[in-house]
Amino acid sequence: MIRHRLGRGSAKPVLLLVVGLVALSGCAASPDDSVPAPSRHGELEAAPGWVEPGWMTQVRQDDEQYQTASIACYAEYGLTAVKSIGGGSVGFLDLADETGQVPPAVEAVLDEASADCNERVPLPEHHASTADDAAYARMIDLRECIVAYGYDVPEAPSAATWKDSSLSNIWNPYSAMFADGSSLPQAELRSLMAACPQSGPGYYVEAPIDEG
Amino acid sequence: MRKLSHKIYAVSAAVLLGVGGLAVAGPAAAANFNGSLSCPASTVVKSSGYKGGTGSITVSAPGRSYTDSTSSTGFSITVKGASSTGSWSVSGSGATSGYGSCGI
Repeated sequence: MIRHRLGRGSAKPVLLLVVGLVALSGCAASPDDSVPAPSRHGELEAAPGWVEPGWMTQVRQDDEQYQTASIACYAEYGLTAVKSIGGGSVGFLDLADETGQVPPAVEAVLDEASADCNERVPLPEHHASTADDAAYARMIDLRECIVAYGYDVPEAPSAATWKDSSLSNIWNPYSAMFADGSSLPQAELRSLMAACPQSGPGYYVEAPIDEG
Repeated sequence: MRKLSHKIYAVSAAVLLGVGGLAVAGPAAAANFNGSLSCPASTVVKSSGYKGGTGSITVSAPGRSYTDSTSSTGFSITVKGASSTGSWSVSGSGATSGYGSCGI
């Protein structure tokens, strides 16, 4: 079992200072501003000093809207889509037969529905991101978020290394956490990923097996 | 000061490698990666696939499958199987790689 490290002894004064500065500013938050984070997600509670970057709030909202609209669209075709755990996507459970393939008749319905739903429900803007400096900064934010919620995450690679990676192997904090075969209960993982959403270009996704 | 007590269920790398855990397979056909594993009793067969294309991907592990037909790319999708032995596969026009492993 992996133990978690948190250092919080001096965090409260920092939080009070941040809250005070935000209150004094009197400005409306833009997507790039840092705002005080919700302190709890499910059973998870962040370290007192954690301040959520504005982009995480936006990604969480965009993903929720996308998933809700997609599920409604697929329902028009009689297909029951479920929210992915991580990545803000939707998918379908147990369409494949014992060979691992989706039967042609099911695939035909799925293809028709997907063509329509992918057109009617556009992807959130953050899904188009590339491995640039801004994406690297968000990835570092994501790692810090996960750590703030009490989990150990391996150190991230340098910006140069990360940006030079192929997208299929690009470092992601969640993938790094579970690279040794470890896992979290899915309800806990869902809460963590709600607290610390991914912005791409690489996403760790688990299929829900015990909830929709 | 409070302490969090999140539990990460871990399986050692030695276990993973010692029982033929990680099995990367080349494509048996276009966009079709598959294999079979016999994992330790305390673990399950996992299947993982990368959705590098805009087409659909189906990731299957023993007793379970997950299909993503969105136009998104960049997803590393993992399905935990329902048993410690059996076949895994990754298929679909959006699938660009796939592998099986043992885990919890």
